Amino acid sequence: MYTVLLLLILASTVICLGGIYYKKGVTVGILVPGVMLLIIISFVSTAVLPYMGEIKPTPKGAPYTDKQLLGRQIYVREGCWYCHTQQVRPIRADAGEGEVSQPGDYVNDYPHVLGTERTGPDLTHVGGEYEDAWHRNHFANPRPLTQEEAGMPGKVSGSIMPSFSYLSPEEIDALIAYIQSLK
Amino acid sequence: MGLGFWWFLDKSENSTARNFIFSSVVWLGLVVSVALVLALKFVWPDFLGGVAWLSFGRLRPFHVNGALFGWLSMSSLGIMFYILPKLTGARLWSERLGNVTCLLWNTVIVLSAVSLPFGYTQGREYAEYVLPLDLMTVLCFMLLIYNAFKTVALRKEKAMYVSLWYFLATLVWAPIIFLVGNNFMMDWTGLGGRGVVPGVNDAMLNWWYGHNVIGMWFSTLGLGIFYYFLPVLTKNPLYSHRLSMIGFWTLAFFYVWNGQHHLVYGPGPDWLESVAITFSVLMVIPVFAVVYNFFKTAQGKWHLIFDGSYEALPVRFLMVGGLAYLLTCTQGALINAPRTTNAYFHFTYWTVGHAHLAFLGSFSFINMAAIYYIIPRITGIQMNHRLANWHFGLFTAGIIVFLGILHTAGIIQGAMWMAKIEEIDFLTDKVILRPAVEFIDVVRALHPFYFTVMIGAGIMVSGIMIFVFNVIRTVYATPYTVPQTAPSNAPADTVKRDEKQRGREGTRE
Repeated sequence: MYTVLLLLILASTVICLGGIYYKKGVTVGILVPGVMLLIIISFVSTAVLPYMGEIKPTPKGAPYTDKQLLGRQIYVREGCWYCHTQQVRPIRADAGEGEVSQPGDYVNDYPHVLGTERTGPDLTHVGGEYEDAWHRNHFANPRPLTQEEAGMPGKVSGSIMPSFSYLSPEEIDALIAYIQSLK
Repeated sequence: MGLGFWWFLDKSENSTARNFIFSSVVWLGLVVSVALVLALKFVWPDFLGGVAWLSFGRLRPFHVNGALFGWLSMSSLGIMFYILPKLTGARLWSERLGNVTCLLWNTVIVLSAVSLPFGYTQGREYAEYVLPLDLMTVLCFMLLIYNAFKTVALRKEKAMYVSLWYFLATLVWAPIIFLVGNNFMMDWTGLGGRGVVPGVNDAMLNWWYGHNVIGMWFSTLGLGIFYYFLPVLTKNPLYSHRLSMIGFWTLAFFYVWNGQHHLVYGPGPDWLESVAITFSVLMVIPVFAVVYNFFKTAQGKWHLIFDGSYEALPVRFLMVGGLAYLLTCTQGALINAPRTTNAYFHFTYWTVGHAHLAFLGSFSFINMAAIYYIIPRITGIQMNHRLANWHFGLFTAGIIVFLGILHTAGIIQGAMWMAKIEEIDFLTDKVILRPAVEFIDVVRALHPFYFTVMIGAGIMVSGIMIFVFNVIRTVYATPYTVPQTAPSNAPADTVKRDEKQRGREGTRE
C-alpha cells in the first residue's frame, strides 16, 4: 500500500512540475486535465486507500436498539455533536477520559459524530455515569434557575448548554437511552 | 430600480455580477444577525431558548452554511462574473444563464435557511444540506461551468491571466468535491439515512470534503479575485508570473491531501494523518508564493492604506485581506496541523478562531474590497465613503477583539485540559493521569471570554450592517439605464442628481 501511495505522490509531483515548466504557460488544455488528475489522485490516496472495509467491531461498537437509534437521530438533528466530541485520543489532554477510541467503536455510526470542538465535555464514555433522572433534569434546563434547584441532580451552575425543553418526553427518553449506551 | 423577480430575467451587461453581489450582501446581513444570536447564547444560554428552531444546534449549521454558501460563495461568483469579461475581452457568454444560476443558488440558500433550523440535516460538518439541496447545488455548479468555459472559449485575449486559472480550476474541482464528499446515499431528511460508509470511514470522507470545500472552492475563488485586484488597485504590474504559476500548481497539488489533519490522533489510520500533516506543512510553499508576489506587487503602495480617497478604499481592504491570508495559512500549516501543537489546540476555541480568521479576516476582506470597487462601476453611483470608513473601522476593530479573545481562550482551554494530577499505581508501577481541573470549571473560567467575544462580535456585526446598508442603498439608487459601455469611474458628484431621481420614480410605476 505504501508503494502505491508513493507512486501516487510521485505522479502528482510530475503533474505539478509539468504544469510549472510547461512551455506555453497555463492553457485550458493543460489546466483542466491537470487539476482534475490531481484531485482524483488525492481522493484515491486519502479516501480510497485508507478505506477500512472490514473493521472488527469492539464491544463498544455493538448495534443500537431501535430506541437508542432514535435517540442517536435526535442527537444528530439537535446538533449535539457541534459541542460534544466522541473520540478519546491517546494524548495527555484526554488522559482520564477513559479507553482510547478504536475504529471498531464506530461501526454502526451513520453518520459519524466524532465532533470537532469541546464546548461541552467528551461523551465517548458518558453512559452510566449519571442516572436517567439526572439527564432528564439536565435536558429540561441544565442550569439551576431557582435557589431550590441549586442542589438538584442534573443542574450544573455555569453550564452554557441550551435547554431542550421543547423535545417531547418520548424523544427525551430515546435520547437518554442513546446517551446511556455510550460506554 | 426596484428589487424584484424580474432582476433574474435581466440580460444587460454585468447584471449577473450585480445580482450575485446584491444577493450575497443580503445573506451576509442575515447570517451575521444569526451569528450575533449565537454569540449571545454563549453568554445567556437561555436567550431565545426553549424553541426548537432557535436552539444553538439548529442555528449553527445555518450560520456556517449561510456564511460560506450564501455570502462568500455568492459574492465570489458575482465578482468572478465581473472579472471574466474583463480578462477575456469578450462579453459573458450568457447573462441570462448567469441570472438563472443566481436565482437557483438563492433558492438553495432560502431552502437551507428553512430546512436546517427545522432539523433537516445530514449531520456532517459543512455537508449539512439534505439531498435535494445537494443536487441543486451541483446543478448550479454545472451551469456555472458551462457559462464560464463558454466565455473563456470565445475569448479575444489569448493569454490567460492567473485569476482565470484559479476560476477555471475551482469550477472543475467544485462538482467533484461535492459529489464525492457529500454523502449522496443519505435519505431525504438525513435522519436514519444510511450513508455509503459508517463511522471512521465516514469521518475521513467528511473531512476530505470539508477541507477541500474550503481549500478548493472558497479560497481558490478568493485567490483568483485577489490576483485580479492586486495589480488593478495598486496600479503596479504583477511582480512575477513564474511565482504565481508555482503557487497555483503547488496549491492544486498539496491542498487536496490536507483533509485528515482535522482528525489528528483520532481513530483513523496514523499514516494518513502523517501524510495530511506533511502536506499541510508543505502548504507554506503556495502560500508564500502568493504572499511574496503580493508584497512585491504592492511595494511602494502601502501608503494607500492611509489614503483618504475613495479610490484607495478597496486597497485598504485588499491589503488587510492579504495580510490575514498570510496569518491564517501560516497558522494552519505550522501551528494547527503538526501533532505536538495539534494535541494542545485541537477541540479548543483556537480552531474556531482560525476558521473565522480565514473566513472574515482574509476572504471577506478581499471580497469587500472587490465590492467597493465594482459596485460604483456597474451602477454608476459612488458608494457612501463615510459609511465605508465606518465599516472598515468597526469591522477591523471587532475582528481584532473577537479573534484575539478566541485565540486566547483556546490557549487557556488547552492549558486547563493539559493540567493533570499524576498518581503512581503501586501495584502496576504505572503513572496514572487524572484531570486536575473539572470540565465544568474550564467552562466557568471561559465565561469572561464568551462575554468579550460577544462584544467583539457586536462591534463587527455593526460594521458589517453598515456595509450591507451601504451596498443596498447604492444598488437601489441605480438609474434604470445601467451604463452599458465603458465602466464609469466618475465620482459621486458627476452623476446627475435628476438621473438618480428618475430611477427612483421609475420604481414606483
